[in-house]
Amino acid sequence: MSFEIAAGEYVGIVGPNGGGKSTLVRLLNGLLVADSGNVWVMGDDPATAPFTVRRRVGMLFQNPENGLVAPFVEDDVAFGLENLGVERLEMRERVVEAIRAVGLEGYERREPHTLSGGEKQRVALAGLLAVQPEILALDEPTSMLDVAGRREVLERLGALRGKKTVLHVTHHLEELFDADRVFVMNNGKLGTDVEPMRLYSDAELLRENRLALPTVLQLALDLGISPAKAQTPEDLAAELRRLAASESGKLP
Amino acid sequence: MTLELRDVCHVYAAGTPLAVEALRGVSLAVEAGEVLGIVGGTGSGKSTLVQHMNWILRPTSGEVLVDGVDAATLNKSELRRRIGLVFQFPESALFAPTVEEDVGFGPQRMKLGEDAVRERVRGSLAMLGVEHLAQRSPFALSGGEKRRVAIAGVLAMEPEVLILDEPTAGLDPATRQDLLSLVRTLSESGVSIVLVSHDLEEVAEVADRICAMEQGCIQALGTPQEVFYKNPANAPATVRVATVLQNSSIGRPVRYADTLAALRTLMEN
Amino acid sequence: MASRSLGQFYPVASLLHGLDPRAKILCVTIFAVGLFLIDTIAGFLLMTLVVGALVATSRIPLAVFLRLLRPVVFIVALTVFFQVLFSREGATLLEWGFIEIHAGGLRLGFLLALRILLLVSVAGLLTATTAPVALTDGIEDLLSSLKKLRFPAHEFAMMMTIALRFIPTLDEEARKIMAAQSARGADFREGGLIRRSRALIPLLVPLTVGAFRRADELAEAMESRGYQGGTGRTRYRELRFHFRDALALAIVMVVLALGILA
Repeated sequence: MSFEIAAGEYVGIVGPNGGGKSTLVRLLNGLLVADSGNVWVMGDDPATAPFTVRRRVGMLFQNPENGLVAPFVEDDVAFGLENLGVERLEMRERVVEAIRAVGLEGYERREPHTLSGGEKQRVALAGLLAVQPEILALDEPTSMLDVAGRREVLERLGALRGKKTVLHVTHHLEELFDADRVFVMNNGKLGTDVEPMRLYSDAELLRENRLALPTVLQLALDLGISPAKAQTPEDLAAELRRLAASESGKLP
Repeated sequence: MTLELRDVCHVYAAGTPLAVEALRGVSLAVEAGEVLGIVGGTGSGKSTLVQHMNWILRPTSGEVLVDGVDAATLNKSELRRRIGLVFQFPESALFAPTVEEDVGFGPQRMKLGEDAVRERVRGSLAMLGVEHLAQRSPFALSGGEKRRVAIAGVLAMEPEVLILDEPTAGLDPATRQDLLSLVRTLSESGVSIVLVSHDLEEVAEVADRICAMEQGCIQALGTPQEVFYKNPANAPATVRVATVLQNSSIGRPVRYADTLAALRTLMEN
Repeated sequence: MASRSLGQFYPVASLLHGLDPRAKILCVTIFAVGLFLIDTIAGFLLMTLVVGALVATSRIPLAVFLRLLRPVVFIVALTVFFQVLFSREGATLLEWGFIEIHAGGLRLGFLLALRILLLVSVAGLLTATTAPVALTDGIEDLLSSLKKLRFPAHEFAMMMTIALRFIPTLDEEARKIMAAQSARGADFREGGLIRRSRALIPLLVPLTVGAFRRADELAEAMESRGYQGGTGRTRYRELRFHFRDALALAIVMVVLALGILA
């Protein structure tokens, strides 16, 4: 497979389990090495220059529990900076900033095992942001979280749109509402590269790749309403009301 | 079987400075053959609540009644056989070298004969559509397969009440759908189901009644219609759409198919 | 649920919490050695007073502190019992069949009990007043002088940090697995030794498998966060040896000298 992602793009990656999504993101920072072909991240090959690349690519994993290294939140956020050999004064500043960016002020001295799933994932995100990577690779960061946790994490990720290049692997298609494009992967191949609104309204493509829409978007699809007008249930209801009004308006 | 909780309170680490009051006087009955959905956010006490139903946790105060008998006086392994509990991420407790042996653990502990155990294992693996995995190692399976095997391990004890704590968490959509169909099938065969989930949409699809928890208390209890339309801010997308359109007389649909039908009618008129 | 286990960090602000971890580790080490040089009742009473004063300074509630000592009470009782029973020193106080209790034995038993309790107390004070990260930083620092002898000080400290981070997680996991297996009819309390150890298989296998999975994921996360060992690494926490740290060391030495001479 071949593709290119421009700086600042937000790219979603979806597809059935075992379709190769996790493998793909691991190739990007040299956790896995391609058997053939080349990977270039800002001109460097992660297989031969993993540390240069890892400084630029922050990875967020599925289970935040197992990615937190230090017994305290602030120490964990500092972990990546320590690895880079950042000087202490700067490190302190960046840690404070990163913790603020994920809204966890006051959590500096908490122990990770006392946090909720959403909070743990935000700590992990802060740890990445502190290193100031240009690219974020997110491997199903919300799949183990409950609704509230997902909302927290997505809100923080949404704030990064346009500032970072983002690759976001997910099963929840609605998370990609604002993505620039979506890669549909199946059987280790990059099947389709589409805009999210086209994906949401292509019943065939969804079925072929065993993708499920969230309820609102499914309603829109079944009612033949543009997915762009169905980001939330309230949006969809407003659109339905407008349609109903204009219909009855036409009647004598 | 009827299962009743009466004024149950639970305090973790009672008597220490770190005591946490997880349940504050919960009274609730699981009726024979129903699907009871328990919803609520993290820390609302839903997991704590269901662990009282088969005496994995004992109430700090209050009673658990099984067919009217105080659970404290009942044989615990018999109680746990009759009331099966599938924990969150149950695959983390898989331990045997083969799927067959793992699923057979429960029936074996019930001192059933070898043939009977094998029968149970085959039956419950078939219900979950994974009988072809019987000889595999549970550790070599995919996430969805592991989850199915772990649920089969509890189902093999043929419980009269099956409690599922977040059974679809972290699964892909296809496996989620399969598990929800399993809930329907089991319910049709007379097993009472308690489904704990933070996913309101999936609870709405299968539940006969909903119990909404908040900070260790029952905040609402009733049919999905009653509970969700009382508090549409915290309801599935179907209810949220329909609520906005209430004055268009589309009724109060909860399930997807009903909502879609109601909205279609609205658009056609 | 979060549980506080033996010697876990108790986060309050106190004089002891504010000391440099290296100073505290050194103090505890010196104190431990010193305890074996003291052998008078007066010396031990002085030490007990000092430790009591330290507990008060630490602002850890007495009840919490005593809970920390609870697990060792049995061991202390057992050692004292044997010491008293088998020592034949000094005047005979009691004779009953083959049992003889001597004044010397009683005294030795008493001192031994105090020695163990004081040792555990100061070690407990160290871990309760020092954040785990600070503790490992302190150990790494003290051991780094051994780096020239190829002692892997950083790796050792990193191992400790990770252990401290994951002990509560694994503890919680063990509880969950036990509950899940109980729901399938497992009983971790019935039967003799062999049956009981067999009953542990459904707990230990998943716990081990889970720990390996965690280790895998942790390694992946550490690698992707740029970890490449101790070289070129900076530290987030700064250890600074203040005047008060030197003072603490000096006080410990003076007090010990007094105890030994008493």
